[in-house]
Amino acid sequence: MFNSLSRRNFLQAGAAAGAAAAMPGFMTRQAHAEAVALNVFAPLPPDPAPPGAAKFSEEAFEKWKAANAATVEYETLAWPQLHDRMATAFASGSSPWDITYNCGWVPEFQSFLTPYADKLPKALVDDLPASSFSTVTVDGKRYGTIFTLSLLTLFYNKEHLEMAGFKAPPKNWDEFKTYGKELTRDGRHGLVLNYGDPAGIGGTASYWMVFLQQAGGKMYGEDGLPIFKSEQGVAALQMMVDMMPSTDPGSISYASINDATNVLLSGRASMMMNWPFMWNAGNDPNQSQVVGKLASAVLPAGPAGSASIDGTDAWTITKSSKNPEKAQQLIEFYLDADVQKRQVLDTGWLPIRLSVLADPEVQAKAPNAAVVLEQAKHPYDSFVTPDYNQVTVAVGTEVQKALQGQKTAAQAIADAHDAVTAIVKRRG
Amino acid sequence: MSFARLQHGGPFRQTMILVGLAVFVVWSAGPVLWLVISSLLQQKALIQQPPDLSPANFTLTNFTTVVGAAAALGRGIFNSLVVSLFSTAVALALGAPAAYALARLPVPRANGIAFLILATQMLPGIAIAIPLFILISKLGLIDNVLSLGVVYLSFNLPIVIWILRGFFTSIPVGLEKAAAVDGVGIFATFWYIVLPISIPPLTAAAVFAFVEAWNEFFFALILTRQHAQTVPLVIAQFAGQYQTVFGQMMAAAVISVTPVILLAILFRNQIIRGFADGMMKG
Repeated sequence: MFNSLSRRNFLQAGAAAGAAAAMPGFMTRQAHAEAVALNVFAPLPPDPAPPGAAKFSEEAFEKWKAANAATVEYETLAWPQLHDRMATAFASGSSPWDITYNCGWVPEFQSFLTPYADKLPKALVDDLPASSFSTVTVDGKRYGTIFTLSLLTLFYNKEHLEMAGFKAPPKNWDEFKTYGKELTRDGRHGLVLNYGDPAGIGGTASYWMVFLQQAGGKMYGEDGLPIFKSEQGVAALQMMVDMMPSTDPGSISYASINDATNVLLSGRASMMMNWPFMWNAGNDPNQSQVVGKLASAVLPAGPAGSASIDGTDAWTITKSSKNPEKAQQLIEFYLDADVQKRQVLDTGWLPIRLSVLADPEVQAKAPNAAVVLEQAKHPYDSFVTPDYNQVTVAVGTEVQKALQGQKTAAQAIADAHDAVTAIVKRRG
Repeated sequence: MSFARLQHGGPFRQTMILVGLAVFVVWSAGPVLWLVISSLLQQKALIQQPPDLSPANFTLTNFTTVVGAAAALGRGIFNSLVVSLFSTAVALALGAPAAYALARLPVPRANGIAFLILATQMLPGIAIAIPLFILISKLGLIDNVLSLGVVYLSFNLPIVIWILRGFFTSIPVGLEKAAAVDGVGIFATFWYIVLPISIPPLTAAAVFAFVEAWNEFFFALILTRQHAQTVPLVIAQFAGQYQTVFGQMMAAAVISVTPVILLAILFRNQIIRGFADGMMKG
């Protein structure tokens, strides 16, 4: 093979490739005949993508673009990589986007965003859950709009519960523990979760935050300092520790919720906290062994009642946008009632508009919508801060130690509290 | 160890060596084999524990879905080829003379320079991510395969220099002295005498550089958007926030890793000789 490739040929080929590569526009995007008015950074489907990037409301989207004399270019990326690309672009001052998807990162990126959501039409705002703005509000200004109601609820295997003699899902912590114990049989476990990654929404710390709120506790006081070294904070963690004997032992190493979901969908566990979008996967015969056996319910209540956390999928507008008004109009289009309805009917992502959630056609297509709506009547604070990642790493790591029996719940909470206090004080 | 020598031992020794080799082969090839098996299994079979390997669960659907639906995969493979070939070719073209100079010519503080070249590899990628992004952004070269190729070149060049420098040092000096006696200059000696006997280490360095560029993820993530995405980014698209389509991800991985495996098979003799010459003698 090498005999036929002389050094002269090799160098000639290299020079030709180099010359071609140096030509303007080589392998870059093709020049568009018309100027791009808006550039939107969004997740790739099946994660929550807007019309035009995902297959829904495409005709309405074309009409909107024509009516608004706007063109929209999407930059889509797999969800797990979104944050890093945004962080790099923002930090370098070279963000090319008008609209960006955000997921609990609004406090972190707040200085690069514009508080447009304060100017949304009243009719729209009135049709959104008021608490949906909590994770996109910084210093009293609203920087984003949540576009899908994504709260953790309880998913359970109806068949397993019936076999264990339970006719309804657990309603409180005591029942949750009893169910977990009784459902751990025949090689199955009562509960599965992903405790392998301490950080982020959906990480170990955030699960503890669910129990914390159910116990009546909060992460931060009015002064912004942590206040979770409390009876409630310890009780929340103790509840998780108490559930461990009936929790799939792999849970401590599952870093992604996908890993834990697969355990539930293969019938190896009976209950888990999960996000509404899992409903689709759970009822897809190509992915699930429990089609028709899955049900969802409001999370079991602790001493203070039920509570959850918010997935916080939001649209935000960057400060560098040259056309923020048009960008806001596009977001309002994404939140239009008809578009929201198509969003859930065609993609499975629940709407955020209360009127659409209450629509009988929506509830028929997404039977878990009513449960999520009911869950939304209870607290669901994700406690996002600019240093959310650091905070959740600190808390989640201590929670993991308690779950593995390396520390008592009280000691882990005390240590996590000290670590978070230091982080918050560094923030200033 | 050759099989002829192996046969000299007793049956027990032979058996143990063969068992050891078998374990090593299974250990090394196991992940690749599992990659291929996973790519042929349905998702619901993959999530079983242990995975359900009954024949009914094997399917080509993952491949047809990936090939049919993911135009991005074809573009990703093409982009990866362009980026990898570009950075490999330039790394060899620049690295070989540089390595020869550091190995043979009277370059002041050659060892120090060689160490400095290696030291550029000691910085973690994240440390240079922002400055690099700013630079490339100001040049208007974000989402451009050429800029990605240049970035990869900066990683590959030092490695190529070190691999080749080790080999060039091991070449008997007499060869070059004989050429000098015949009045051959430095450039001609390098071109007509040194390079022709350096095919194995050049091949080894090229394959190493190619694979490094082919598999790189982090800089491809931050320096591309839609059009210059490389294969690793396309494969990562099968893992979402709440759903990972394992079968399709593995099918895409099988398709994308095929060129690299073919490359390794085609040049296996040169690769083995090259690494042995460049690293062990050096």
